[in-house]
Amino acid sequence: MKRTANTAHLILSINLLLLTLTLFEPIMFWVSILVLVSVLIRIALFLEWHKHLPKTSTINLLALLSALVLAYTGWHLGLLLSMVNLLVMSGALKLMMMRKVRDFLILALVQIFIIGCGFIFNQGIFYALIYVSQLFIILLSLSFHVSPSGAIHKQSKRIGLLMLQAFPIAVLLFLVLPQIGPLWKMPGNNGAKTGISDTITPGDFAQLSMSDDLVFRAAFESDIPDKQALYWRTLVYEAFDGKSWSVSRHRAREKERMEAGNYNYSPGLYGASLQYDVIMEPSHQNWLYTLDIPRSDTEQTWFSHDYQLQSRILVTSKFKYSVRSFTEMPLNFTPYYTDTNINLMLPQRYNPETQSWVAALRARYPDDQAFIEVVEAFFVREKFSYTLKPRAMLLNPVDEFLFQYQAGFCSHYASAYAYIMRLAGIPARLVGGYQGGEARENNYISVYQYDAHAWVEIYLPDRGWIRKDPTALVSPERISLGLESAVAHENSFLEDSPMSLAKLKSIAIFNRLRLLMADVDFFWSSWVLGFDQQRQFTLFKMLAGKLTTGRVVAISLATLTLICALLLLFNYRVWLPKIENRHLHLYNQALKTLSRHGLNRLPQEGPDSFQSRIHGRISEQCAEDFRHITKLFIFHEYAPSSETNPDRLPELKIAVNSFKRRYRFSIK
Amino acid sequence: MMLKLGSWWNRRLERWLNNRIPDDRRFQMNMSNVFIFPSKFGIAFCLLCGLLFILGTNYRNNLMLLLAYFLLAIFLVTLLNSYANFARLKVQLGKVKPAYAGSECALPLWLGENDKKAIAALNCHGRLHFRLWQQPVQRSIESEQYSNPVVILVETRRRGYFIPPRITIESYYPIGLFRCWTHLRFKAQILVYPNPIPCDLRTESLTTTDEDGAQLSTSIGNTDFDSLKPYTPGESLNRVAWKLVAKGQEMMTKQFADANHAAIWLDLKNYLTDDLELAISQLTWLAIDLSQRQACFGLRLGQTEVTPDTGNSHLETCLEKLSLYSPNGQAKAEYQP
Repeated sequence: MKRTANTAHLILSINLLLLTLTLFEPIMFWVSILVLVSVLIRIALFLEWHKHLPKTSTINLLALLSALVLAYTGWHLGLLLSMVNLLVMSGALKLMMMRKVRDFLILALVQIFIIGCGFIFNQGIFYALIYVSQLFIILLSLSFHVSPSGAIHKQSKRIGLLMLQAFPIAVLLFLVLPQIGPLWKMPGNNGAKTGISDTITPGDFAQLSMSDDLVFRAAFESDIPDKQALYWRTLVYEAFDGKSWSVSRHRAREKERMEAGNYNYSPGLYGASLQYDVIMEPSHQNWLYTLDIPRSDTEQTWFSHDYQLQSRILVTSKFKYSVRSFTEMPLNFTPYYTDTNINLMLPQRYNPETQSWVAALRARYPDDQAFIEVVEAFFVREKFSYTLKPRAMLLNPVDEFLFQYQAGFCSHYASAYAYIMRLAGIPARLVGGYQGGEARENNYISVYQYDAHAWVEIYLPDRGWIRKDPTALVSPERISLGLESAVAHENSFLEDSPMSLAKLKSIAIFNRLRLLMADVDFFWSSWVLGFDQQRQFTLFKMLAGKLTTGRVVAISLATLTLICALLLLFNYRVWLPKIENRHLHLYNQALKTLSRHGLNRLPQEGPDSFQSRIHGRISEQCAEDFRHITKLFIFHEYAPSSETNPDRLPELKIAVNSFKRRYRFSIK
Repeated sequence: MMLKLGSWWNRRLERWLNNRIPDDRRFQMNMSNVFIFPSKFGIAFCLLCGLLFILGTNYRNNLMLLLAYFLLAIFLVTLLNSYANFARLKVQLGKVKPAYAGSECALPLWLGENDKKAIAALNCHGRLHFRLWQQPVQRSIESEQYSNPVVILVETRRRGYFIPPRITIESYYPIGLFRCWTHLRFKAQILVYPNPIPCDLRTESLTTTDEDGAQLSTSIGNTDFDSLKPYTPGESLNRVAWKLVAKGQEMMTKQFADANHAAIWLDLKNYLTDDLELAISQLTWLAIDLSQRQACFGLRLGQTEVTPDTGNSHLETCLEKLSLYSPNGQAKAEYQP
């Protein structure tokens, strides 16, 4: 193997660089630099600017240093990111010291594995196409390794054909091989947690409101309900410390127990319902988005007493689950000690003004219903406004909000409202999630980060948990039209991302482009990324009707047969008998046609004399054809070297075929 | 113990191979003589598929699963491609020149069509590796740039007929996932001449007649130039007057006065000591030497006799007799490992 100018090595090196570029987010900067350096070394070797690889001892030292730095920085990166960085780093080091065939092959495998890891981070259709082309490059490099002197276009064609042939087989395998659930928990991507967090400090949501990232899409079986009805419950906050809301420790412990015991809260649900599939973007969290009250039969999901649906494992890639929500059911199944108990807990400190105000108000309105009405009237009456740019409220946030600034957004209102209720002895809690979404032609709805919302649930003994949304009192357009119209007066929608397509909604062509991209992404997500056991079963049912063991076996066997048939078909020429002498074969075909009608060539008869013998016995046209065939055959049989004479096989083939057709026709 | 087991296994394998791929002059690869198995890289590739499958399952990542299936599909397709490619190969053994025992014998392999028209019709792509059975790779050729024949060297040990060992041809086309190979043994008897060992000439005259070594020296050493005559094809090139050719004249052969003056007899019994092989080797050397000096000589090996003559074909006859001589009848063809 020529060590310097090796095309296979060069291709693989460049591919490593491209691969690193697609992973710019998870890969640390210094690792990328390492890759760049190693690729430059290879290019220098290829162009013969430099003749020697770096010394092994140098590389070893570099490897040691890199490992140390990675161990140091990887500490807070989490296992997954460290592993990916380690993988790319070792790829770069291997590239620097690639000497043997074995090194090259290992590097190829490592790169394929990196592509696999890339799918953890990027799952869009665009990235899928990029990774397919990267795989193509790796295979091309392997092809160059096996046949170094082949022309690049020939090898590309070969590999392209190989991938085209493999594609239907891969799809068949994907459709038919059982989709099994996760076998064990994998390390997640700690740094990448997105969406709402498990603590809300009023003001926090402002950050989410600035983002137009997709959170999930939901495809409804029936029509998409009104925006006002779309409260996507995500997380319930039941602990309040005077400033911020968080998930209650009691609740967390209870959930841990439930999850460990594989216990699933399953209330009896009936009445009107909505069936929909949710395809969520990776959030690196457990919680899922549902409308109340959800029931899901998707694997790896479970339901808890706070009416929350969650995944058993972290959602690290796009995840599709289907839900049936019973929208008219009251949330009153849990006359549950924990519920009322933890939702009355109050911090003693902070917000004295609110405390005294509520105490006075409650004394005047001892009836719960009347009290609630008065409080809501207060929100409507006072000059509250909805803004994405609230003042900082630090010392007594609720006091300052209610009586001083009177401007804020959903979490301010929800927090104040829930606090007031608790002070009045009505159990109340905060629910975080998303509200509304962008509907697309009644097919599906897309929910973005700026749809994040917080609302309140209060518990009334006779009715259970009731949703109250104080934001709706102040800014009804937030609920009915969405954030963009709610903050239109201050022009603060997606202020920090001027290039966002969502901001260019007003320009028709951009909006159409944006919606088209959303359609493609939706299709991709629901059919490729969201293909799961359920979809598989649906497919099987469509093919075989009822699913019995026998039919499933039959489907599997049929697929297997199909795959084998495809494989055989791809190389069909090998299985046919080999024709050593093509012109003789063609001539014999013509003879066979004649002999079917009693015209046999005698063993001692030359082609020419046979031709003249049968001349009168067949039609003029056929005789003329046969004369031509004989001429071509003799030419091929006896003409000297092929270099001086053009190849006339195709001509002979055409002549024989037309002769056969005409002869059959003329006999009839 | 291990050695014993190894050789037992090898014997079994050889017997099985002899049944499976009988000797032939010409081979077309097909189901019965091609073996195919994943290479080490192919096995690692499969393991990678498994790893990606597990990762994809655990991360509920369909794209990773698809990648795993896609790699598996590529693996399957290359299995067939690899075989289909290798099955297009045709090999036959060309004319083998005799070799001297102890030196290497060159086996010319002609790949592709036998047809005179199909000059570059080696339909088999990728690199082909050639080696002797259980030996390291000797030659690697690429279909895009090779020229027939591919010469494989085989070590010879003993004089006599020699059946060449199995030749392994292998290919990793298209992307190295599979190793396609075959072990071919060609139906050919290759003559191996004895290993020439220099020695002094001992003629019959030393013991029987009065014309002795002195006469010999004149007969061999004498290069009395006689005349030139036009070269006829087949004559020894040693006697061509190259100086004239270099001057641009036509090829002429030098005639020597005493070329056929007297015949020398090389008789085995004059050389025979305890070691028959040594004697045969010495006779070989003498025959070659005499032939180079254009001397006329004959050969006597027990019952066998070659009448005195000169020229290359005479030398070849003598060498053949020497190679095949055995005191108790004809030597058998044998396979030398």
